[in-house]
Amino acid sequence: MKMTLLFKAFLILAFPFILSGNIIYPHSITPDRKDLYKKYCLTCHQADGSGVSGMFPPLIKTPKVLGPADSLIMIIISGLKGPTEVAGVTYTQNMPAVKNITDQEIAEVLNFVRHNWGNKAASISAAEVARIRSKAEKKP
Amino acid sequence: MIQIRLLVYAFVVLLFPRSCERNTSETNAPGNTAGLTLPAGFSATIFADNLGSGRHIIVRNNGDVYLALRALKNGKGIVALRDKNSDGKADSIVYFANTPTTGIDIGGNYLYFSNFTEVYRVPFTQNKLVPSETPVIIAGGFPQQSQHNDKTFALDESGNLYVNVGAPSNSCTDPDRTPGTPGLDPCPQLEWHAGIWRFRSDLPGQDQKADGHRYASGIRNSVAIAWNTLNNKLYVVQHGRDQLAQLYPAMYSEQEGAELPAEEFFAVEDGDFFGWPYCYYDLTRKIKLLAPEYGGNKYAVDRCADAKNPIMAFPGHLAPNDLLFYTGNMFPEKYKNGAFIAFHGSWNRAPLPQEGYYVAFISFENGLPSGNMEIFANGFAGVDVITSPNNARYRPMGLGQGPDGSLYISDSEKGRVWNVTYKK
Repeated sequence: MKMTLLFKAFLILAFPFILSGNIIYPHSITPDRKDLYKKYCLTCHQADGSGVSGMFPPLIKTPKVLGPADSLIMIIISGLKGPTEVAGVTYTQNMPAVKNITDQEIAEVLNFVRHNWGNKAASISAAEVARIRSKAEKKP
Repeated sequence: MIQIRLLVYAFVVLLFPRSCERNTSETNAPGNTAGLTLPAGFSATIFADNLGSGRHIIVRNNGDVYLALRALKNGKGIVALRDKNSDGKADSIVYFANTPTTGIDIGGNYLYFSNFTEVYRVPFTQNKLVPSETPVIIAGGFPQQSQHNDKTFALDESGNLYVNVGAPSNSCTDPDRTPGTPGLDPCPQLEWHAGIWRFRSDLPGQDQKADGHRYASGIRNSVAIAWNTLNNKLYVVQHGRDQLAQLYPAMYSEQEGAELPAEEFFAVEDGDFFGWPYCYYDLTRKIKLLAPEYGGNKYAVDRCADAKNPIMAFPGHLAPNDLLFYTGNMFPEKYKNGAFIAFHGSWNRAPLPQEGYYVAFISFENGLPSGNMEIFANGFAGVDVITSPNNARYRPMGLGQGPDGSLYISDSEKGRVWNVTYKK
């Protein structure tokens, strides 16, 4: 009886975390990581993903963000040379490659970007990132 | 029938005063500020609106206004504005020039303007709003660059042209803006970037490499550049480096990354070196410090002891984009010969709120600031807390002085132009 109560209490307390995916999540689902977005992306792409006019492109409903996971993963791994164009507007800045970031973290930060500000795109897994990374590294 | 007439009458009475109010509040009622917050006694009108991506602005001595457009509108890069009926609103609006422009100025009977690689001039045609001759290149051969590419400039009164060539990077690392990358030493970008180059203002076809004189160096980017006719000296305001906290998170907190480094106000003499990329200015300690890319640790001064100090410094990342020394007679005495600075506003203080987005004033005496910076015009952004630059409805960009002594302020987001006046 005591055990079941304790277990119930645990479930109730842990429920928000299970939902948000911050602590407990099944291996097949990669969570969204706002903290990683803040660490790697926010300064340029801004808190609301709207970017900086003429400099850094927005991440809101843009083809690169919503498009194929492969090319999006590549941008994190190898960076992007400016100028780049989004919706007819030119953004001049280069994006540096993000170094010292794990495959799991790349998946997590991209999922945050792909699931926020009205973006709705398929989740990315660490395995996909690993596959793209090894492909990129094989290239001369 | 009477009932219907009464209804119509009631409708008109209810509606009309309101539409009248709305009209006057958008135009010239005394004490109106057209959405801006201004000191007592000042008013503002919307001189023109929705002109495009406004940059610098200049006013001819007949009152015609010229606004540089960073992106072509209707295929043109300058918009000319004339207020024919003197109601404080431009009623003749003409687009011309086949290149996007950022800097614009008037010297003698010529309109000077720059794109990202050249400075042009074209003579005015009598009192015509749009010059009819073909513009010629005065100075060119400037590097193509993907950041800090505005070639803003100033003209002195002895036939010289001073062109800002910004740094093509944040702090001279390769790759740029990447954590853990040391600075190139010596920084090769200083050869043709990050300084002020001087040319003759009346000689067509000059080239940066062949004919330019590197007047000053170690200036990361000074979009705000002006010649002070009172003491015959060049002044610029620098955009300080970005991302101390993002690139060196173990050394700088988010708060320090937002406040550091200061934006610096320079009085420029021939041969000056101001320190970029090796140094940055710490506003609280009032000292140039060695940048972390060059071995700096937040305290070391090292070679920065030799870099010239600013005459004034401002909080980090406010983006000073224009500088104007006020020589008019319309504004109260304290404004005479003082400096107005348009702070375009930051993007690089995130995740903390952004700052700037206002026009500031600094009184001057003997060529140096004689008072603290005060905010002169505010309210451009239209919101109290700006978390990202895209929250801002308008961003002050350029400053121009009318022949009557009124001040023109341009906006980069929608292309609005305000005219600020003063009445005792």
